[in-house]
Order: sequence, then C-alpha cells, then structure tokens
Amino acid sequence: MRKIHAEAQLEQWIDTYQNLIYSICFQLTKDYFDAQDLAQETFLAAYKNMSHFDGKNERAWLCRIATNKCLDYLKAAGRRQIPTEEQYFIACSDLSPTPERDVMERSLKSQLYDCCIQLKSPYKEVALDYFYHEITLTEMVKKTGKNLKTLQTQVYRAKAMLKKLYRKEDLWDG
Amino acid sequence: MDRQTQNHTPNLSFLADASRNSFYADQLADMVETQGLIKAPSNLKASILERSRQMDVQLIAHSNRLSKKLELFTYGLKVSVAVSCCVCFILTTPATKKEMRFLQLFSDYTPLHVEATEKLQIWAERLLEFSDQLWDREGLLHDE
Repeated sequence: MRKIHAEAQLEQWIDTYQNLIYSICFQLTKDYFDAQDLAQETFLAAYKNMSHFDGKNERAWLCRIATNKCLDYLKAAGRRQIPTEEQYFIACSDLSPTPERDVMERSLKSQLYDCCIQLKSPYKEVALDYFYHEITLTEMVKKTGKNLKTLQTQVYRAKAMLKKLYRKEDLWDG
Repeated sequence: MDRQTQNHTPNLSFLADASRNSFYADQLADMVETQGLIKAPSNLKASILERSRQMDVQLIAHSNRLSKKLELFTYGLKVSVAVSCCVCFILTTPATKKEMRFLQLFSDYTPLHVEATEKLQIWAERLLEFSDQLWDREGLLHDE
C-alpha cells in the first residue's frame, strides 16, 4: 500500500516537474542525453528519499536535488569545464520564450537527428524511432515485430553511441 | 533575482546556494520557468518509472523508509525508558518517606524483645537475691 502510494507520488512529481528539472539539467550540461540521465537520477533520488522529505515546497526540493546532481556531474573528473555563472545566465537568457527558444529547440532536435543518422543499422533506425520521434518501446515492438528485450538492448547501445558522438561534437566545438 | 544580476562571480556560487537552500532553489525554478521550459523527452517518465521498479532502487527506498521507522522506534524507546525511570523514582520515593514516618510513629515504644529481655534480667536478679538469702539462712542454721 505504501509502495503504491510512493509510486503515485513519484508519478505526480514527474508529471508536474519533468520539464522544469530537464530544463535545469540541460542548461547546465548542454547535453541531451546527460540531461536526461540527470533528470532521471533527480527523480530517483527523490523517490529513494521520499521518507525524509518534510512535505513542504516539493518544487524547491526537487530543484535542489537536480542542482546538486548537475554540480556533481560538472565537478566529476574528466568532465568539461564548469560554466561560469555569467555563461550560465547568458545560456538561460538564450532560452527565453521567444522565437529564439523555438529555434534552439529545433537545433537541439536537428543535432540529435544528425547524430542518429551517423549510427549504423539497426541502431540508426532504433535511435531515430526512440530518441528522435519519441516512439515508445511497445509501439516499436508493434511496428518492427522485434522482441522487446532485443529492442531494449539496441536502445541502450544506441544511447551509449549517441553519447559518444555528442562528446565528440562538443570537443570539436570546444 | 537580485543575486543573479548583481553577483556574476565565476564560481557558480548562486547554483551552489540553490543546491543547499530552498529559497535560492525556488528563485532558480522561477527564473527557469519564466524564461521558458524545454520539453522533456516523452520517454523520460517511462524510463524513470521502469528504473524505480527495479530491485536496487526498491531496496534503497525501502531501507530508507525502514530507517525512518527505526529512528522513530528508537526515539519512542528512549522516551518510554525515561518515562519508566520517572515512574520508578516516583514509586520508590514515597516508600522511603512512609518508612521514615513509620519509624517516627513507633520510636516512643520499646520493641517487644527488648522489653522481654529487661523483664528476664529483673527476674534473674530477683532469683539471685532470693538464692543469696537462702544461702545466708542456711549458713546461720548451720552455725547454730
């Protein structure tokens, strides 16, 4: 009963705050996949420590967890340089709700597409379906007729390859 | 918002504050929301829920819940020990007083065994006197 309650609470948090948490993570990491991983880690940490949450201001609590996760990620050895506060807020101002933000989102998608098509088959198709078109695994099973486990493995491998490609692009940009 | 415009130090102090303090975390959330949110990938929710159902995550969540319960239990235990100590103290303290009052009440009376010993001593002395007198009389009779 308690477990069901905790899961329902987690679902509610995800529904309400996933865009906010993802935005914070993306603005700090500038990496599509790392931001996704950090957002996932944020919600999982919240789920694990639900019993320690005082029930006040869940938005601030989740933001604190996300910021901590991002700072840990940035401080970790071998990561890219930590952006300065100025760089961070310039990046944030780039994301104002203007046509520029839409352009930014479109460029994010096109960057993702460019990376996906660089992969070899069958990872290219899997990555395009799962990450670019955001098709769920069950829909992919219906569409391709492949086994769910096989698709899960292919998605996992494709993600790892895409992460590498993103890092490579960052190095060239840097 | 003041912190963001005034303090542009290169050490991300605002983010560090936001990671520790709910007030700054709220400010960060407000700022990100007003500037527009990026739509999270639609598979994010499913992947989080799937991961949350895995054994390792469930174990940690469960142990955290349990440790909270344990914390409550130890607190309760401490309180109950303190309460029982107090109860013991309260119960033992009047008993001592009662004892003292009892001794005070009966201090005027001589205990029975002491009274008996005293009477026995008196009788013994009388017997000795009587036997001495007998001896004396016998001696006189013998002399005569």
